[in-house]
Amino acid sequence: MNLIDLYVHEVTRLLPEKNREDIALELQSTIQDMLPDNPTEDEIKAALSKLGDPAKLAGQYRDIPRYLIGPALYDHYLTILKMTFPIVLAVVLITQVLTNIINYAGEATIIEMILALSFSIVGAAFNVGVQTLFWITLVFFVLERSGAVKESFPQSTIGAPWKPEDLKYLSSIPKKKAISKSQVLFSLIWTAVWAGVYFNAVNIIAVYERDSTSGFNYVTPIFNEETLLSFWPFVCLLIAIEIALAIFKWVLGQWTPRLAVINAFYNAVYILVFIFLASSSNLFNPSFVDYQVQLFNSTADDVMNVVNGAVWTSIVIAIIISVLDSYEGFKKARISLTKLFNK
Amino acid sequence: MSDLLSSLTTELRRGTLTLAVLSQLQTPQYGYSLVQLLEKSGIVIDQSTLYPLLRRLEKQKLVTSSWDTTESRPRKYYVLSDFGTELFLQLKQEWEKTSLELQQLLEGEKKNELD
Repeated sequence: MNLIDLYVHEVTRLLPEKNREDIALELQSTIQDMLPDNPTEDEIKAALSKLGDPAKLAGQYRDIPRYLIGPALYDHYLTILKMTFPIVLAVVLITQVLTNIINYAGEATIIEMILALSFSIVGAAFNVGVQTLFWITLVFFVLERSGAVKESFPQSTIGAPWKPEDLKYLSSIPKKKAISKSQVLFSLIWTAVWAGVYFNAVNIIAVYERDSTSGFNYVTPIFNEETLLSFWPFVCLLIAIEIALAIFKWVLGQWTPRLAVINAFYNAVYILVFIFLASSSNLFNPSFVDYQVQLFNSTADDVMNVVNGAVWTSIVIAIIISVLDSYEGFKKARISLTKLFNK
Repeated sequence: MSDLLSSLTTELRRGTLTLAVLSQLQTPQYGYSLVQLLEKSGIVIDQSTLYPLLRRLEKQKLVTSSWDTTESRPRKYYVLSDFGTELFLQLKQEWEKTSLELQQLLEGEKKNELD
């Protein structure tokens, strides 16, 4: 085969079957037109380099966009990705933490458990992240190629064209007043974590001894399981309020006076339950107290004094945090857009 | 800097290419004769752009094509369709309007410079 045939073949090879022959014939005759009657090889080469890279020429003939997602859809693609990723990752986080806590039977040390949990979170997050990216990209790619969106409107209008009236539906919430979805998700995760810890306290919150051969050894639980779990109706109430509050926050998307009141109520309930639980007489496991007595060579009374001191400190800290949180709620509820403008 | 200039120039010319090609297809032309016609008027067009462009115009029903096999080698001739002629005249008007407006705009700028 001579150079011309090779060139034409190289171009048409990349084209759809139905146009191939016609384009090949036209290219042949065009190249012949460009050349004198008995061309030298140099003349042929010059003509072919005028036509340029066969792959590029074939690309022009094919007229298929050389991108996955065009300008009309790109903004929407990014928006969907940004919206989906935090949700998906939060779901992964919640499910991983929950399954790990539920399946925890106390056979592994707490550090081993945290390590395993981090590994499984990273693994699952990567897996799910790649899947999410792939499927969303695929859907947008199909949308792009199906021609559902007109190429001639690059300014991202899917559906009705933009009108000034559309502004009314936009939120004009000041940033400090707004409650982001990630904040809500985070508080839901937090609820799941502490609830999981509460119901498995005997297995998780315990004294561990360091051993040179087998790492950490479970010695004795700190809390008295019966006392701790006797509070379950109140704890369930607290969980229910927390979840309701999270849903309310999610729906509202901003702090309002009513939300601030509910938030303060939740904090009050939380403090009450916490104080009752922390001050109940049989909260601590007797064997934990014995262990401390042996460890520090002291009396049971001394140990109980230290423990009670810790309990009261934590109660005071919890009260301070709750008061601050309630106050913040009211403060945020008072922020208004007009005030910001008048400043 | 010159890179930017050449890319802007290319962009400026790209839109006029279709009009230039349509204007020459009032009489039937084959690929290479079209290249020569355009080059004679000083319009440089990449050949790898022109041939695919002709096919696109045909797909848009602006031109029709036919193979002429009477000569020594077969040639594909392109000519404006009725629809293509109509559209060409409208596009031509648009161009004349735009170029007039731009000319006035640029001349106004010159006057300002003189002031």
